[in-house]
Amino acid sequence: MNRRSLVAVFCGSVLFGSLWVGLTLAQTGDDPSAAAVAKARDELAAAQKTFDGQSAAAEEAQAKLRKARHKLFAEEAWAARQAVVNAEAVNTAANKALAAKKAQVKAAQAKIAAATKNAKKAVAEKTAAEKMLTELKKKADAQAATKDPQAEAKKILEQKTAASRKADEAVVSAKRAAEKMSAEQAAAEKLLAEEKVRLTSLRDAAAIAHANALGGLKPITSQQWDYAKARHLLFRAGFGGTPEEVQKLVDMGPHKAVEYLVEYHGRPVLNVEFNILSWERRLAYEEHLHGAAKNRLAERDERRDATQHAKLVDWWVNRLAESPRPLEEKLVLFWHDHFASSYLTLRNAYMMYQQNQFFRHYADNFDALLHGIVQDPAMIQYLNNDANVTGNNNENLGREVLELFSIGEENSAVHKPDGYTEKDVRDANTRALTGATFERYSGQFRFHAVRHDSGPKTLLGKTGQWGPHEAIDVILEHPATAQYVAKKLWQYFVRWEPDPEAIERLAHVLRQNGYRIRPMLSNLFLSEQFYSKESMASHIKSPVELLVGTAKIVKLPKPNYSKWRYLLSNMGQALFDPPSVAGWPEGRHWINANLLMLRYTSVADLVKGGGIDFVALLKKYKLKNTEEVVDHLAQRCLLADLSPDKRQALIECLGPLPSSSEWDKQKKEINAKLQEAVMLLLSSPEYQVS
Amino acid sequence: MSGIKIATRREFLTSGLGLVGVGAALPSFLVRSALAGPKAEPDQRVLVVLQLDGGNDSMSTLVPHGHKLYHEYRKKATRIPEKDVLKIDEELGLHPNLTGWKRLLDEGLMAAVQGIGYPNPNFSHFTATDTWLMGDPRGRQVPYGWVGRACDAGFPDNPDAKLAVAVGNSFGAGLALRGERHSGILISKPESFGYGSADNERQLTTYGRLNNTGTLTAAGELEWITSTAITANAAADEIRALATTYKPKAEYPDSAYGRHLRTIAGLITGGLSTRIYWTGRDGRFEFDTHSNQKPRHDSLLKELDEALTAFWNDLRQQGQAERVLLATVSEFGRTSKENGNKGTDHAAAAALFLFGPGVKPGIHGTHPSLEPEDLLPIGSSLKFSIDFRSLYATMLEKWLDIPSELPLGQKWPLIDCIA
Repeated sequence: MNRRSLVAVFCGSVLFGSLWVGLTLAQTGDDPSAAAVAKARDELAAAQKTFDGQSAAAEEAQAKLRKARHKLFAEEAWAARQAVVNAEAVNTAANKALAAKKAQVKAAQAKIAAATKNAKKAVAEKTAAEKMLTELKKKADAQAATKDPQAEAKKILEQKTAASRKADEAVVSAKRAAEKMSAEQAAAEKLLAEEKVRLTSLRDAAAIAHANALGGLKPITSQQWDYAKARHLLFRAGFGGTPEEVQKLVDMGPHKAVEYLVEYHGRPVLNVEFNILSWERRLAYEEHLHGAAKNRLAERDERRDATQHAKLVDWWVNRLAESPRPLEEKLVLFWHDHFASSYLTLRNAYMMYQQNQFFRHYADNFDALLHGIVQDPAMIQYLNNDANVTGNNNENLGREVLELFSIGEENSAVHKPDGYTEKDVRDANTRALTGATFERYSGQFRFHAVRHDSGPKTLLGKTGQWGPHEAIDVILEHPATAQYVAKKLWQYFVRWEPDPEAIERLAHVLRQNGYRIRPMLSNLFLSEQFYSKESMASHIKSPVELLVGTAKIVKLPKPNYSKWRYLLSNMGQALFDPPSVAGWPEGRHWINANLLMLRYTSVADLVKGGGIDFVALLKKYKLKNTEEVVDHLAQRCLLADLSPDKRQALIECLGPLPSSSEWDKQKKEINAKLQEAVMLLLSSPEYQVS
Repeated sequence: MSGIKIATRREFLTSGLGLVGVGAALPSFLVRSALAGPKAEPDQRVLVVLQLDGGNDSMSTLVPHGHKLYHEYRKKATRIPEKDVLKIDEELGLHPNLTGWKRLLDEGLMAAVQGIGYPNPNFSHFTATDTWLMGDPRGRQVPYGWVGRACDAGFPDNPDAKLAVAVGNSFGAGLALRGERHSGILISKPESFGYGSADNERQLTTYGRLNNTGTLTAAGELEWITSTAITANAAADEIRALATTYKPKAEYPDSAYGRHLRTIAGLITGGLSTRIYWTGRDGRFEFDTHSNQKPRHDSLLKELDEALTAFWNDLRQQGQAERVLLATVSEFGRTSKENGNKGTDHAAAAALFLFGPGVKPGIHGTHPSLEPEDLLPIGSSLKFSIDFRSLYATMLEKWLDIPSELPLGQKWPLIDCIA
C-alpha cells in the first residue's frame, strides 16, 4: 500500500468514525461518553452471554452431579437391600437346616427311647428267665430224675441274655448317634447365630443406605435397640401396651419393629358393628312444610342425629382403643385434627362418618387427602364453600386450604418472601374453589360448573384457568407444603419443639414419595432424632392417648366407651368436635390447672371402675415385695423416670406386701392395694408424658 | 434436681405465714394451704378481660348511624336499621340488644374506644389473635403473654400463683397469662376444681408427695406440668370453696359469659388475691360471622348484654364494683362492606369497650373514616388511629398501677379513658 492510499484509508475511517459518533450522539442526546457506554453495553451483553453459557454449563454440571449422587445413593441402597435379601435367604436356609437337625436329634432321641425300652424289656425277660431257671433248678434238685426241662430253661436263659446284650449295644449306638446329632445341631445353631449377626449388620447398613437414598434422617443401629426405645416406639407409633408387647418389639429388632407398626395394611381391620343411617332423602313435600309441622320435622331430625352422633363417637373410640392397626387410627386422629370440621356446626353425623372413613382410607397419602378435602361434603359445609360461587365469593375454605391445610400461615408472604399473599387467598384460591359444593338431597359432592369462576387466576405466581384440583396441584408443588406437613407430623410424633434441619429432610422424603406418609414415618421412627434424649418422654399425651394408653397398660377388660365419650369431652378432646378449623391446640394446651385434675380423675375412674383383676395381671412377674411391685408398675406405666422420693412415697403408702406367690390367699386385700398403687402412680405429672 | 424455684416458694412461705425453716418435711396439706397465699386487700383493684373471639363486628355493636356511607356499605343483611339504634348522639349508637350497656353508659359505667388496631394488620385469626394475646405483632415468637409479663413487671417478688386467673375454656388465656415468673391459673370448671379421686387421707398424702415435688427432669414439658400441678393444688381448695358457696345478689343468665362472670364475681367478692381475670365464651371464633351474620351476632350481643348487666348489678350490691374494671378484646374488626353471604369478613380497626366506675364514661377517639379513599385496600378495612397497646398500657398504668414499659416493650401513649 502506498502512502496516498494509506491517507485515503485514514481519511475514510476518520470520516466514517465521526459519522458513527455523530449518529450515536444524535441517538443518545449530547452525552459525549455515549460511545463508551454503548461499547461497554456491548461488552456486557457479550460477557452476559458468555456467563449465561457458563452458568448454564455449571447448572448442567450440577444437575449431572446431583443425578450422579442420587444414582450412587440409589445404587448403594439397592446393593444393601440385595445384601439383606440374600442374607435373609441364607438366614432362612440356616433356620431350615437347624430345624432339620433338630428333627434328626428328636428322631435319634426317639430311637434311644425305643432302644432303651427294648433293653429294659430284654433285661426283664432275662430276669424272668433266670427266675424260671432257679425255680426249675429247685424242681430238678427235688426230682433229680428228669433233666430235660432244666436244659431247656438254660437254653432260654442264654437266649435272653444274648438278647439283653444286643439291646444294650443298641442303646449305646443310639446314644452315640444322638450325640452326633446334638453336635450337628450345636453347629447349626452357631451358624444361625452368626448369620443373624451378619443379617443384623446388613439390615443396619441397608437402613443407612436407604435413608441416604431417600435423603432422610440417619437411622439408629440394632446395637442401640433396647427396651426403653421399643417402649417409646410403641407409645408413639401406637398408643402403648403391656411389657409383653414391648418385649415383642425388642425381639424383632428396630427395623422389623418399625415395619410391623408402619406397614399395617397387611393386618386385619377391627370390625366394630355400627349401624349409621345414611343420608335421609327428604320427601318432596317436606320441603314445603311450614310452622309447627316444620318445627316437628326439624326436632325429629335433630334428635335422630344426636343419637347417631353419640354412636359414631363410641364407634371411633372403640376402634382407637382396640384396632390391631394402632398407627392407622393415630393417623386418622391426626388428619381429623389437621383438616378439622365439627359436628356441632354441621349437626350431621353421617357427614362426619364419611369424612372419618375418608381419612382412614387415605391416611397414608397427603396428596389424595388435600385433593379430597375440597370435595368432602362435611368440610364444604363447615367452611361455607357451598356459598362460594362466581361473583359472590366466600373465602373461608380458600383461606384455610392455604393457611392451615397446606402451606401454613407461618409460611405466608407476611413471614416468607416466597409465601402466599392475601391476594392468593382472597382471589385466586377462593375463585378456584367456586362451584365445589355438595348435593343436599344425597349428601354427595358436586361440582357446579355454572357457579364456577372459570377465568384466569394467578396463584403462587402461576397463572391459569385453575379449578379446584389444578389449584391443589399448584399448592402441592410449593416447597413449603411438604415442609409444613412434615413439621406438623414431627410435632405429633416426635416433640413440640421443631428441629428445622430434620423437618427439611422429612419434607424431602415426603416430596420424593409423592406425599405418601409411610416412607417418611418409617424413616422417622428409625431415626436418631426420634430416640434422642430431647424426644423421649417429652410429648404431652392428648386425652385420647391418655385413655387408650391406660386401657392398654392395665388391659382394661370391658371398657365403657360411652363413658369415655364424656371423659374425653371434659378433658377438652370431644371427638368429631374440635374447637375450630385449626383443630385442637395441642402440646401444653392440653393441660391447665383444672384440666390436669380432670385428667387425673378420668384415669382414676378407669382404674377404679374397670373391674380389673390386678392380682391376675401382675402375679406372673413373680414380684417379691412392695419395692418390686412399685418398680414394676413404674416401668410398666411411666416413660419418664420416677424420682427416689416419689418411689418412696408409693412404697410407704402401700406398706409391706407379700411375695406374689402368696397373693391368691388374700386376693381381695392385695387387689385393693395394687389398684391404689396404680391409681396414684397414674395421678402424677410423670404419667402425662410419653 | 428440679428446675422449679422451690426456693422462692419457701421464701414466700416464710415471709407470708411467719413460718421458719419449713421445707420438704412440711406435710403436703399444709404446703397446699400455705401456698394458697394472701387475701386481697379490701380496696385492691382488679381487671377483667373479656375475649370476643373471632373478630367482633364493632360496626354492628357501636353503630355509626350518623355516617351516610354506613347505610351504603351495610345496605342489606348486616345493617342495624336507623330506627332500632340505641342512639348515643348524632353520630353513634348501640345495637338494639345492648339496652343494659346503654343503661350502664348513662349511669357513667361504660366507655368505648374507637379505631383500635395496629400497623400492618394481619387478617389471619391465628396470627391476629396471637398478636393481641402476646401484646406483640411477633405473636408466638415472643415467649410470654401480655398478662403474664404484666404480673412479672407488677409483682416481681410476689410468687402468688393466683395473680392471674382464667375462667372457662377461653382459647387464648394460656398464651396471654404465661409469664416468665407467673404462669397464671386456668380453670374450666371452678366448682369441681381439685383432685377428687383419693378415698382416704393416706392416699391424699401420697398424691401430694407425687404432685408437690419436682421431677427428675430439670426442664421441659414434665417440669412445666409439675409446676402446673403445684399451683393447681395450692389454689384448688380456696377457689373451689369460693366458687361453690358464692351467693350472687343478681340473677345471671345461663350462658357461658353469664356463668363465668358469676364465678369471677364470686372470686372477687370472696377476696381471692387475683389481680387480672380472663374469660371468654368457651368456643372458638364465635364472632367470626362470614355468613348469615345478623341472627348470630344479634344473639351474641344479647348474651353479652345480659351477662354484663347481671355482673355489674351483682358487684354493685356486693359493694365490690369500685374495685373492678372490665375490658373487651377482639383480634380484629370486620369489613366495612358486607360480603355476598349476608356476612362480613376479616378486617382491621375496631371499637372496644370498657366498663366500671373507674372509666371516663362516653366515647373516646374518633370513628375511622368510611370514605373509600381512606379504607385499606384489603377487605375494605377501617384504618386504626389508636394502637391496642395504648389501651393495654392505660389499663395497666392507670388502673392497676403496673409499669407498662416492660410488658409492652416500650412506652405507649396513654388514652384518657380511665379516671
